[in-house]
Amino acid sequence: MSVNDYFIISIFLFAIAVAGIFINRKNLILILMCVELILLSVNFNFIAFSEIYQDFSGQIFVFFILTVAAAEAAIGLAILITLFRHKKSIYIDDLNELKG
Amino acid sequence: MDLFLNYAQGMIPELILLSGLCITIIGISFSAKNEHFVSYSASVLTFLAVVMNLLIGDFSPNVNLINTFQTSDSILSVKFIAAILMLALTMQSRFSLSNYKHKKGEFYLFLQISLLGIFIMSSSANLLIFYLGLELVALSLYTLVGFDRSSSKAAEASMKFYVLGAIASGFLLYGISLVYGATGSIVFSRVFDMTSSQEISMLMIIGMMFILIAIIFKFGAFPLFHWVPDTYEGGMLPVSLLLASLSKVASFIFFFVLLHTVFRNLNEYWSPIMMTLGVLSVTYGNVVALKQSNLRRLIGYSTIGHVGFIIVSLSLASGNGVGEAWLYTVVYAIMSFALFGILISLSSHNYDIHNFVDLKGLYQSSPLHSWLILIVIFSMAGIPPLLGFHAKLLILQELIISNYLSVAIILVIASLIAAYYYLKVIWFVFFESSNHTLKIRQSASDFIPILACLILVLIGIFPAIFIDLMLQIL
Amino acid sequence: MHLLLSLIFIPLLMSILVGVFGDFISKRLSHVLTILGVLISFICSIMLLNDFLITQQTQDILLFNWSIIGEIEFQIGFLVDSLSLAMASMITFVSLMVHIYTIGYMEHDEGYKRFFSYISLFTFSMLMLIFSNNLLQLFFGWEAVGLVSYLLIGFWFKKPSAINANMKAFIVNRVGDLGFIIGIAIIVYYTGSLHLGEIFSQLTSIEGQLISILPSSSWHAVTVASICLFIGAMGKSAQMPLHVWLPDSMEGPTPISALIHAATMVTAGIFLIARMSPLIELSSIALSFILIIGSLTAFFMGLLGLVQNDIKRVIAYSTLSQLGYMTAALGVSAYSVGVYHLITHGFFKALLFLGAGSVIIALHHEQDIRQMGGLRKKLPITYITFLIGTLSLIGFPGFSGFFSKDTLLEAVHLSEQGGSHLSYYLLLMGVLITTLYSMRLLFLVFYGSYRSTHYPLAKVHETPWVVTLPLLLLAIPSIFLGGLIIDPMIMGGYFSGAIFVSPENQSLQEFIDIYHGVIEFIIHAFVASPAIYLMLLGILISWLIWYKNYSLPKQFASLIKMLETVFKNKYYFDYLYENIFSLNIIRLGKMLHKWVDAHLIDSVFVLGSARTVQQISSKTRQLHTGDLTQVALIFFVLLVIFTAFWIS
Repeated sequence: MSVNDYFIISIFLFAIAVAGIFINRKNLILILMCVELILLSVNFNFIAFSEIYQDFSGQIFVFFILTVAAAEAAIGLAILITLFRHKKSIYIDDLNELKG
Repeated sequence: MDLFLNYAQGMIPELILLSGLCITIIGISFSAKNEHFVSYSASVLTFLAVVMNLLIGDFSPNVNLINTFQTSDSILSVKFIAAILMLALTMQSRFSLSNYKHKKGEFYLFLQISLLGIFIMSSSANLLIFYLGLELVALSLYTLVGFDRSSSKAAEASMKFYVLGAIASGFLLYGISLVYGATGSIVFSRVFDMTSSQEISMLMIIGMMFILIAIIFKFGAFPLFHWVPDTYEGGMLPVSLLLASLSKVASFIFFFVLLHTVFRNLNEYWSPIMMTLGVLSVTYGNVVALKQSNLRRLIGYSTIGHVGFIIVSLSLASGNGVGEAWLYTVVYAIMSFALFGILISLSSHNYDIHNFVDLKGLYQSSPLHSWLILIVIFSMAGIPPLLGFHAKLLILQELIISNYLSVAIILVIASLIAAYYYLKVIWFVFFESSNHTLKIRQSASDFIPILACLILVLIGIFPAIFIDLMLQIL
Repeated sequence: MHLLLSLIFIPLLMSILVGVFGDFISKRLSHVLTILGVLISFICSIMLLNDFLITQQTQDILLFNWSIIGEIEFQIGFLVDSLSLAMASMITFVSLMVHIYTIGYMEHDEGYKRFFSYISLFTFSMLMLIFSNNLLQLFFGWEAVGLVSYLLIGFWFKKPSAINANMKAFIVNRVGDLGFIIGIAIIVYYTGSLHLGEIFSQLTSIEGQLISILPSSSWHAVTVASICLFIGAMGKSAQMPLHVWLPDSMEGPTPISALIHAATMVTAGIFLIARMSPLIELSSIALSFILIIGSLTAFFMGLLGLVQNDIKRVIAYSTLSQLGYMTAALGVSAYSVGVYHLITHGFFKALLFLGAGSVIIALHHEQDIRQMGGLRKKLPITYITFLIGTLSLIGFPGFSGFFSKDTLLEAVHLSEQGGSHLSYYLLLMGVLITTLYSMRLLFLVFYGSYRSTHYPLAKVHETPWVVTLPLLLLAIPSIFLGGLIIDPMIMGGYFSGAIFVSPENQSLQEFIDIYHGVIEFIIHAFVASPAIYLMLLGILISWLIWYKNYSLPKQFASLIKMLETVFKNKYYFDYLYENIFSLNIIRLGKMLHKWVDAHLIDSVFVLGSARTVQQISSKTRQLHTGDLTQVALIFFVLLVIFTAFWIS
């Protein structure tokens, strides 16, 4: 596989994530997973470009993204738990109090 | 080692903030009973130390630490103003939090983290550091919005804000990765050099478009504004204040650092887009605010309108648009401090304000608060000689000078629409009478709103020095 | 600088203190505070005047730039020169006296503190007006004094007549203000500045410009601007035909009649014209216009004073007439004389009003002079001071008013301005009339027998010291001031830095050349001018009619009777305004309201647009459904749009 292929994989991942977010329309956990998928595609990009330019800053970036993504996921799940306590559900359709 | 110390000098505010953060964490974990007081006083002391340090500290300007961290006079001024706003916010939050039953010490912790994020954002010299600062602000904001665990609205607002924010930061990262792919570097100065020297690649432009979307989201501007009214309605009052004041400062830095320093040469690509969206924000925010019955949502939509002004002014690539946008941001922060400060102060008397109807007959219960509301609302509506008027006037003037007459006219019309719902607030406060008069006593929580209103009036009458000062910063 | 700021802003500070914290402080503290404020202000103005007399330096102080729009700067700044300092000293002194007097006059009034707050605010606004160095700030002061004056005319807002008077003052002044604004606009258009100094240095750019008002006729811009400014002055200084509000404004409390409607605010128009002298001088048409209006007012308004029975209204008509004199002086380019008469008049007219107020208090709010008489013995101090005021007003030799009025008459006499001969004779007859109504008032109030039936003479007492002290203090300048300042002010060129007179209008100079000191001036008056004999004749006639009750021949009496009806109806001005203008304007207004306002503007433009916006609002509001994935979709839609935008 050449470096370009990695870039194409990244675009595919991104497309899958996007599709996942608004085709699914049901479960919050799925959305969280799709967001992680976006970050994964970003990581693919960084690795690929890092390889092209023979520059290590892309790889460092990936490490930081992984860390931040972990923190972000932790916060997301925490919010999800409080939400579940109130609504007894994690369906997107039940997030309907705030509108207008 | 000497070299490191030399560089560390520029980082002293961040280091103070970081150590304050650690002390606060330790303090909270070792004091179960009065963790609120411990956390509050630790945060206030930390912020005070930061403010004092920025005020009197000895900084060698223009430090650049191996392309990661930089300072300059204007960055220090921005940090100084952010620190002062955060200090005032902390002091005002206490009155709101004392009504809150759950554990509340962490609240101040997140305030400190978000200030740290703002500092790191403004001092960053490459995209990675910038991203980390931005995430620090964003993560603490998600948590703060959902801080009130007893409210299902808060949980919902926080969840929505979180999901959208996560997608936005995904977009930002994707954009950054594309920019990295186009230039081979994440350092601001090198990316800037690439945009000026070479032919601009498609990868670069698409990357920038991704970043633009993230900026729009962080500002809460036109098509991505949904989280603004939601969080204002669901979150606690101090959180709304944070979103209206410091979060706008953070967004301003976001816009300024990325578009005005890194992508300055590409302004023919981003300037028209941002200008259009800014105008749409002003129009949309003010029109939709018209039909709101919930006061907090109304303020949220009016925020979208104000943000539109900032974005329009920032989109002016030539002239002094940036300085005027900065002035508007600071003025808007002051007005938010006055408005939310009053609401916090009123709510701490067990008089929770959500709808217009709750403001009925306020004049009978508390003339002081009513007059303060009058000042803020007039300032937001841009009635001379209050400070809000000068901020709007300068932007309109700049637009006319830069030949954007039609934009200026739309902004004026939108402001006229805004005047209608602003006056509706005044009407409810002064002319609608309610059956019951509440006993509202003045307390220490009135201090910051009164101070903010005084600033609005006095600087409104003597604006020259303040405006010059703000315009010089950037 | 500090002196100036404290001179202007301390009254404001005190006004705010008393106005805002009125509920928390005692009556005593409220008047102590405001009086202290005005006292400081007075001392500062005297010190500044002293400095000025030593250094002879005009200062133009820029406090700060308020805002800049395009090329025009809006500044807050002060022009400290001979004119403003002379005015300031008079204003602060009279204001101080009125403040003290008010303690006695308003003693039992509910709005005691409110009143003090208002008159201090008024003093501040008046000082802002006279010290301003640009037209915008001047206009601010102009409107602010107007505002306080409406507030004070309607002070007893439960009295319907007070509210009517208030409305009248407001509407008539709007007409004047319209002229003033147009004047300012013309000046700014041609000179590009609001700053007085810059305007005067740019006058060459306005000179010779033409404005076509009607398609067929074009006017010099200078003339139009000057006349517009003068229309503003006419409103404020109550010149015919915009005078109708001043007599009605007597519904307000007496202290403000003395302060606002005699000594200070009504002279703002005179001040404005004097201040703008470099502009006015360029147009002889405007000068003639000013002269004619002034002398007509002086003559006809004086006549009305003869038939009034309300003690305050007599003095009000006298004020109108005296303002006419000042205006006439401006019309012959004798600005310095106009201001000189303004200052002497400020003192003796305030004295007369306060004296009248003292009588009113002593008689327990009786204002009808037919119910008075013989009060000489009961109110000795009031009588003496009132007599001094009257003698000064009629120009009795040696009194303050004599010098200013005689100089004024001489200036008009020697002038070559178009219409100056007619004016001279009108003003001379005015002297006779002034004497007649003033002496009538004096005789009817203080001589003869007491005529009131419902308030016994035995209960009449001299008023308290807070009332009589200002009377005494005002009586002193009413006697001496005119003689003291004529040398420096008129002859010595005190105003040379502030007032500009073009070489062809130097009528006053001839008079200055033949002047040799105060004594000579008095002697000269006996020899050269008929005014003094007319005055003596007036005293004689009034002594016969109102003291000796000598009845007139029959035919003469019927003629007088006929004239009296005309006078009583005030030349039908009110009738004219109310029946012809007001009614038709109201009718027109109703029609316009019905068709244009209600149908076109309200339902189509205002309500229509408001309704449309509201409909849009409620529709767009529904777009925010609260659905998370919809919002998430926007991210991608935006991305597509942006890219499409970039590719296209």
